[in-house]
Amino acid sequence: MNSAAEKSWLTMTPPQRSALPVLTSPSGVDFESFFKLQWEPLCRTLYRLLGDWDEAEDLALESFLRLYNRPPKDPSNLTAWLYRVATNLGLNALRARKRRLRYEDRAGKNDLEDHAPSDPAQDFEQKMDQHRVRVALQSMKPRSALILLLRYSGLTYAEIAVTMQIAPGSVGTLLARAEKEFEKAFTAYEEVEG
Amino acid sequence: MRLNTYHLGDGELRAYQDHSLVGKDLERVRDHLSVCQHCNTRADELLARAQHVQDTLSILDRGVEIQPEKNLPAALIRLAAQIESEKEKQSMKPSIFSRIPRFAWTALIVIAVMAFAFSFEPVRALASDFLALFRVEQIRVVEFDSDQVSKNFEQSSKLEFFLSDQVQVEEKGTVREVDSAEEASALAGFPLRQLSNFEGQPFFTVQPGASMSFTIDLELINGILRDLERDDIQLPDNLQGANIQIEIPAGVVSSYGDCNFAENQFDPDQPEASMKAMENCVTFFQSPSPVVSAPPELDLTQIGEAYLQLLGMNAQEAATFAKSVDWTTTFVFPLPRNYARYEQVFIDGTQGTLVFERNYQYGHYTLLWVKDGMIYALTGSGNKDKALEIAASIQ
Repeated sequence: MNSAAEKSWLTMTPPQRSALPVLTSPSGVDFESFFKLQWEPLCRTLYRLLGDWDEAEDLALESFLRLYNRPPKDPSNLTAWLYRVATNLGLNALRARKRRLRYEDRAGKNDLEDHAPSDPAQDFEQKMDQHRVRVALQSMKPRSALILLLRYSGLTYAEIAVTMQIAPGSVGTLLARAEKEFEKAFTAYEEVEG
Repeated sequence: MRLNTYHLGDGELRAYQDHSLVGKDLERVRDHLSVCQHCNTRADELLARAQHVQDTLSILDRGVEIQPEKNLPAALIRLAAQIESEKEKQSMKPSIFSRIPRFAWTALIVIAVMAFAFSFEPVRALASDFLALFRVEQIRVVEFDSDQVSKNFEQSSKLEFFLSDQVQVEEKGTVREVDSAEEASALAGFPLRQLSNFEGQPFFTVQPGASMSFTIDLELINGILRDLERDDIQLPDNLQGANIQIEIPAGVVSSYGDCNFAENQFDPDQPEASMKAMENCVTFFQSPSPVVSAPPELDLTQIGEAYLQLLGMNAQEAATFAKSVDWTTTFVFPLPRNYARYEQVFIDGTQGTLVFERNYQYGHYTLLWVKDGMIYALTGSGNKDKALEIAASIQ
């Protein structure tokens, strides 16, 4: 009876991040090493949220700058702290886009019109698929989209809890709801677009 | 185990699938799944959905041409340049509220939101026949040992997320600083009381009101209680889906004396020096009581007892305390005893609570009281006599 329940999400694991080494340098946080370790995954997470690489890198940089200027007292939660700052910046950026849904829709379509794919149908189809996913994410409640992206980025439940400032016992519930919400949003979009 | 009525929640199943359960929770879920076909079927459904979502999200990573790892050296240079050019600020925003002890604001704002929400009985029903109202008329202090309270509870930062994941907040304006009591009074919407024994010109900061609403999420709460190893705390089923609305009126902080917040910025690494620089500043906060609305059929006193248990009271203590309080009019104020001490005083014709922070040598106090539906908070540096002398000058 346990066969289904024994299946693990981790057997189809999201892209794994390297474990953060313990920062025990006598001088304090080894900032540069931490930066080199986290730069790429953080940029990718912000890119999935925002859909714009330049903006993702700018916000990633701002997040590290804030970490440098005001490091948290507890160094064991650096990753979660960093993602909390970055995702707040990302969500604020989304809110600042006045007509973000229309922007995404228009940008996706304009991009497809203005930049003819160098590859044939596969490249075009890939861009359309990514556009659909991003529109589905944008149509969700921001915190729901956020928890999905954080989990997909490989954060543990404990890290997600600190990043989103929620109780660890809430993560499973909110994640299950977010997955349901995403599936509904993605399916609805597919039906509309035909 | 009541297999015919008890089933695991989706959150527990997802956490189990993600290997995020440990100890007794893991054992409990595993044992249940060994005998419950319903939950195994549900687990399969959740797993299939999670797989589908993951596959769909992976589309975002396909064919990505920009590679941030190639930009790493340039990013490091940009970061170094910004660090060099930006002036480091070790301060909080210049704000009058930094003078007021953080726990007091936690109580006044967060607990004003939450403790009210679960500490009242229906007073009357409106024509809409589904709302009950509550206003503050007095304050009652509950001491607790913050070292004993679970770290998870303290780190569940926003207390409102204890009851709901979706708290809607609408702020009604922006903070404004004015020079006259008349203008502050007009902006806040109530007549302003003032201290009469200070020389010099005070200034007034008007804090806008706010509306908050949320729907109680019982599954979320039970998850948190399990986290805190307090699944012995029982909450009524009819809590689920209850809609709570809270109206927080505008408030005014009047600043007297040497309150130059721009120059004397609070340095969290040197709190004593910061407080010394502000020892000649007195702040006086006033605001009408928040108003809480909720379905009258809810037994919210039971929720209040649960909250008191989370603060460290045992079930009997919590029940006894709950019975001793007039929940329709009392603001229950949690005070961490290892951070502050308090005593009851008589002020402004009524009973007040005088709180002293333990960690500062300059005798920093906060005096709290309620009168005629208004909440007042006076803060400054000095001893009890000084606090009462200043409060006695209020007109």
